[in-house]
Amino acid sequence: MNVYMKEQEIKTKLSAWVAGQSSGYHADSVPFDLRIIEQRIITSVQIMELILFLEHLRGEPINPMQIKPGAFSTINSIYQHFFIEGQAYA
Amino acid sequence: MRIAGKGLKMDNIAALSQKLSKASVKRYSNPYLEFDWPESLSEDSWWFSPELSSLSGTALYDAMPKEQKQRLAFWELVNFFSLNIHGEKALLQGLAKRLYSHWPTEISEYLHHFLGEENKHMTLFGTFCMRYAKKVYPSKAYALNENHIQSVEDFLFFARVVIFEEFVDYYNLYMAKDERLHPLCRAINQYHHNDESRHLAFGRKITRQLFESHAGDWGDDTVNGVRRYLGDYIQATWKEYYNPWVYKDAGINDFYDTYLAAWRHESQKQLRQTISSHCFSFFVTSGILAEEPVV
Repeated sequence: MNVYMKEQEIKTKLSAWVAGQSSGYHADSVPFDLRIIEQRIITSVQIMELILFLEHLRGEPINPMQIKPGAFSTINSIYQHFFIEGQAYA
Repeated sequence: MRIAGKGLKMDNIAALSQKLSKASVKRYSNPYLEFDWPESLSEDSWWFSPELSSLSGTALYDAMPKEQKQRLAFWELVNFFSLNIHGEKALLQGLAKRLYSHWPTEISEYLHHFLGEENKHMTLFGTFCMRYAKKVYPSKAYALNENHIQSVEDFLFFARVVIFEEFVDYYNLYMAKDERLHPLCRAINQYHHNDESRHLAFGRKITRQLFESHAGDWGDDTVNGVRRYLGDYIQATWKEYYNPWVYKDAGINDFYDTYLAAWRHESQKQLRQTISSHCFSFFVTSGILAEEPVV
């Protein structure tokens, strides 16, 4: 699997996860640049769930104390923070 | 800006604080001397009551050999102590912030005891986790920036204290009495419970008073927002008891799917509701929550 495919696959899984938390979106309809916190699509309780889902995708634990502000803004920022700069969060 | 505490019936809280301070002095303890820490722990012991396991009632749990259930029990205790550490860290910050603030001196005097006792609990939990598990599980709680007026912030702080400690105390009391458990596990749970009963008495009193004094001024939107917040906090608190990494450490392969299935399992929903019932009853009879949340 090439890097691009991997990126697409992860973002698609994140999109499906976000859609599963919120009525109004189908699995493949959450834009990667949608402001999911600002628009209250994801709540603070669901962020806890999201961290566990990210751990599942990454296969290793995440320490929330090391998460930078803005990490959860969009699917793009989640991918950037946890899968590109991700080593810093383990 | 309205000053939180201004309209409170502070005489009642000051009197309770004095009474609780006296009890704390009378029961002052030194956990550094009271506990013997064995070099290593036997693997064939129970470290967590099986009925309280986050997997109890599931087919996976029923099919486990006793050895794996005991291994799971050890890691569930480490998770329980870890979530206590994280909860008490937040508690210490909130209590310290309210020392010598806008409330009577008697309250600060009791907050000193409260802080000291919580710090000692964390020492016990941390010692156990680091000595025998070599780690503390990280919390998954992640707070979004939320700004509240002072009276709402004070109320939510003490309401969180009550919720967190009510749930924890159920486990403490149950496990302190459970003769199947290792004596060290029972002793730590008993020690924690002894102090928590005073902390809960204080927490319930001030939570109720803060709500009664300020809710009338907050308006419907804020009261509804406070209720939503508490509902979310209750869910988040419960989620910490279900940790995929505990299941991995216990040797379960599909640990994330196990977590999802355990949270949704009917027997676990009933367990959470049973453990929460005392806490929910307080919040409903106080008028803080309109109805008992479903967890």
